[in-house]
Amino acid sequence: MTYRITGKSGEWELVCGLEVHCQIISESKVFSGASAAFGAAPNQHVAFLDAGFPGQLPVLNIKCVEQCIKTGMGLNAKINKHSVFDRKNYFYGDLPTGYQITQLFYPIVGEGYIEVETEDGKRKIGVERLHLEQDAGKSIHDMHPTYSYLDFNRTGVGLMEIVSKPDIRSPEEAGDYLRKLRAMVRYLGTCDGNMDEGSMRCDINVSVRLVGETEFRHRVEIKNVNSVKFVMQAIDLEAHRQVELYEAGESFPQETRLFDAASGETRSMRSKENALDYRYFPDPDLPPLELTDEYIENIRKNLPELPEAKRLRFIEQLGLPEYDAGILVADRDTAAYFEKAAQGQDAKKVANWVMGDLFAALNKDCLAITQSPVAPEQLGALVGLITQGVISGKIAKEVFEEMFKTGKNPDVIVKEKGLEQVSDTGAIEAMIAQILADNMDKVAEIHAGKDKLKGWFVGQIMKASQGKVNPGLANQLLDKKLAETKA
Amino acid sequence: MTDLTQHTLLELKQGLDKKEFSSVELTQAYLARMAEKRHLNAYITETPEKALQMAKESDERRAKGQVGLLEGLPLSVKDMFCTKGVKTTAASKILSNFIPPFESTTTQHLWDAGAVLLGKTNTDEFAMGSSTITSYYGPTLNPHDETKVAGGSSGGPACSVGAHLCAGATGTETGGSIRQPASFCRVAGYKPTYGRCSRYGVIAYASSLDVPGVLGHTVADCALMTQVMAGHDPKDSTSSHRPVEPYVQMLDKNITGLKIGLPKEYQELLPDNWEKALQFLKEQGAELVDVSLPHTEEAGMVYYIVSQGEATANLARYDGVRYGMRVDGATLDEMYMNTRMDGFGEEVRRRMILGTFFTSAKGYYDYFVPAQKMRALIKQDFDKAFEQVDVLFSPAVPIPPFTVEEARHGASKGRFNDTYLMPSCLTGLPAGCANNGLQVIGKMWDDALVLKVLDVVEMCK
Repeated sequence: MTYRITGKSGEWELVCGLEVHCQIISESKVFSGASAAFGAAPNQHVAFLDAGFPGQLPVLNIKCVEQCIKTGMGLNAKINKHSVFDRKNYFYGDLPTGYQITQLFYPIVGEGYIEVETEDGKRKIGVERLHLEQDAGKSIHDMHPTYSYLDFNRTGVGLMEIVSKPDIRSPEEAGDYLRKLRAMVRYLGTCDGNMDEGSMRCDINVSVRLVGETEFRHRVEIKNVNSVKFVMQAIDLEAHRQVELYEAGESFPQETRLFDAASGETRSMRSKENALDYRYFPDPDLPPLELTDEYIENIRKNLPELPEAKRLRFIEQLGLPEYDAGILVADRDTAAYFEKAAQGQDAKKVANWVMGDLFAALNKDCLAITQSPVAPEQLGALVGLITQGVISGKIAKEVFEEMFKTGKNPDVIVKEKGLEQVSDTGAIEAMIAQILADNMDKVAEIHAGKDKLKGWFVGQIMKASQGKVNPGLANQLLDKKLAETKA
Repeated sequence: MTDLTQHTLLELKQGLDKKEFSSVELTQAYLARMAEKRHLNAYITETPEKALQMAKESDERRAKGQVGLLEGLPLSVKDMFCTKGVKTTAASKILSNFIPPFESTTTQHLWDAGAVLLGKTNTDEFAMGSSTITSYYGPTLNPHDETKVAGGSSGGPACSVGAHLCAGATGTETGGSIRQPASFCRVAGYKPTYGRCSRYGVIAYASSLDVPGVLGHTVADCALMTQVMAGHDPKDSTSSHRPVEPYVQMLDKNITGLKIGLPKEYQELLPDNWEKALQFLKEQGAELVDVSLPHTEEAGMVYYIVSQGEATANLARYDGVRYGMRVDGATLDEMYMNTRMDGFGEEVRRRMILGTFFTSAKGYYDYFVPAQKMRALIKQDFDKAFEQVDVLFSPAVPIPPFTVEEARHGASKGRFNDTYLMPSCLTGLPAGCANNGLQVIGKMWDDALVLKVLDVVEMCK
């Protein structure tokens, strides 16, 4: 359903754009040789450059360039062969050089898009640009009453800033944009996408306008919202706040606001009048970055399969329903698990097991799919046992539970516990004959046309065999025996 | 050799090679003279203990047959080069307690070649000036007339060479800061092609202009030091991969058939030795060609906009947070203001305010961008001239040194102080002046040719 806010003066629509900062996965920082690893003790990964020492110079880490290009390809975007680094100047304790190296005028990646899916269908959200820049350090203000503490481990870690066009029209679209982007960078291994750890951070631009208006009204920026849920919440909240103000005939400033997850409100941070002049100019320490076609094409050739391509392949080649394919490709590890498990098996059945019992079990024990006690090959083997008629689907659930607990192979468990389906028709027929003999009144009812009672007999057979009889076989033999009693 | 300090670098190199004296003896001679001439204020920091230790180690290496290109030769280093464990101030109060934990690439090359560090020389604060009067440590005097300034910003290096307080000196040039003081102190100074010597570890003033270079008694001395300092450095993204040529060996004094351009814009005021020099070059077989560099006049303004814009960002790191001096305040912003107000001198503050304006959202398009366009036109002037000639020849600074008082009243901002120097700074071209005040400018990477022509120019007394 199209997202609209109804007011006295009519229907309002949302105009929203996102600026997402993704911390680049790389061994070392973007311009210094210090480690870019997360989670070290404070100030353990700091080169002289990161601490802003005199005479220190930046040297570009080509790995970060490669990560930007990969991500640009994931955004279906133009890779710019010529890009330039600029200095963005401002004073703050956690910015040791007094400027951030970024790309304002000539970014490394140009226009692209991300396709989102909502109840209204698919839409392309334009991406304006992706540029490469450095992260700042961390200021810790609550360790001392009058001093701030500084941690420069993060200073100079590579960031990709991905700026969308103001194409987003609903909180749901914003949510899906972020999820798609996160899945993509994770697939490509360019960013771990963990919003709660701050390796993916989002600033939101929100404005509203009456449906039919073509111009944009002025916008409000909301900074650093750290989950997809909060982003959607913040957009909805801000859009309603703006509509209320317009409807009440009040004006509001073009400003930057902070989202407070605890109160679910946004509050003013600074207005446009106090906006900083960052005094951008090209960084004379770094020559322009010039890339060759050969270099770019080489990266393209080695690009892993992206979620959308994988989704289509799952649908077309493996015959999965769209819904299943969408869920399985959302996460790179899940897709990889599924593909391994489905090797040589009925893909749809494997998909059901992954999305059903496996997800439930993992979720219960708080495990990631990469930590699953059941290896993908083992899950595939379990599905194989069902397909071959060795065990029933019902028994398989019991076997799966055991696999999840012990990590044993399904065939071993089936043997140990004697769970093979009874396929000795003679024995089954004898069992059925006994059941029929004990319930001749019901047999008579069936002969009188009460076919529904067959189900009751199948249940009795399963009960007597402790579920080891293949239900198909049970039905077939029941029909045969019933026919005999008629004759 | 009676007074060891009265010789050129190459002469001393020979003396050491012939074992006429040891590096320790030579170093002691310089240290004694430095003490005697301390009133010239050439050095901010003298390092006698370190010097003697390095000299001793050099003598030991020599005894074992390990002889580097600068083995045992005592040098001074401008206080813009970071020297590991030795205080490096950029002549600023804000860095008056700064001891670098690393060595600049170019000075490391000197030590690797066997050179000895005598001390760190005076400069204008952050190399901003051309009289060495903005130094927190006071002005450096001219060794030939103590009522006059030594020039700047490499006033300390020029004085240390001119007064024989070292065998040779490193300097840095952003807008004439090697050639102008060299000219004032009657020594040779050489600014290599931008990218020839690494800027790693050199305290930045204006990154697109800063060039580490040398000052010496002769052009040949400069050639030797440059040869050692030059070379690609993976720590400087603007450093060139080109192999370094053997500059000293290439000084063959043969300029027969060479086309030497005389820019007409550089001849407005000419020194007494000018005509004689032209005659001499012709006698040496060179062909003199009149050329024009029409955008010479604009170079000064372009220089101020570009250098101050870049400097503002480069000096933002001196904020009292991590090293250097700090003056506390109630808030972070107050601490910044107190520290920078007290730590920087007036000239530095003035340039940073202007630089902030030139790079502001409006100033960037009104000043910075047009300045870069003009810079391209200045480069075009040189490109055109070099289609006709091999090198350019002119006076370096056609005016005599001024007094400290005159300098304080803006003498260094007058015409001719750096008019003939600025354009070759903005274009990164190799340029030097011989110890007779005459300069040669060459094409990019033509360092060997510029040094060779300068070496001939120097023969004209």
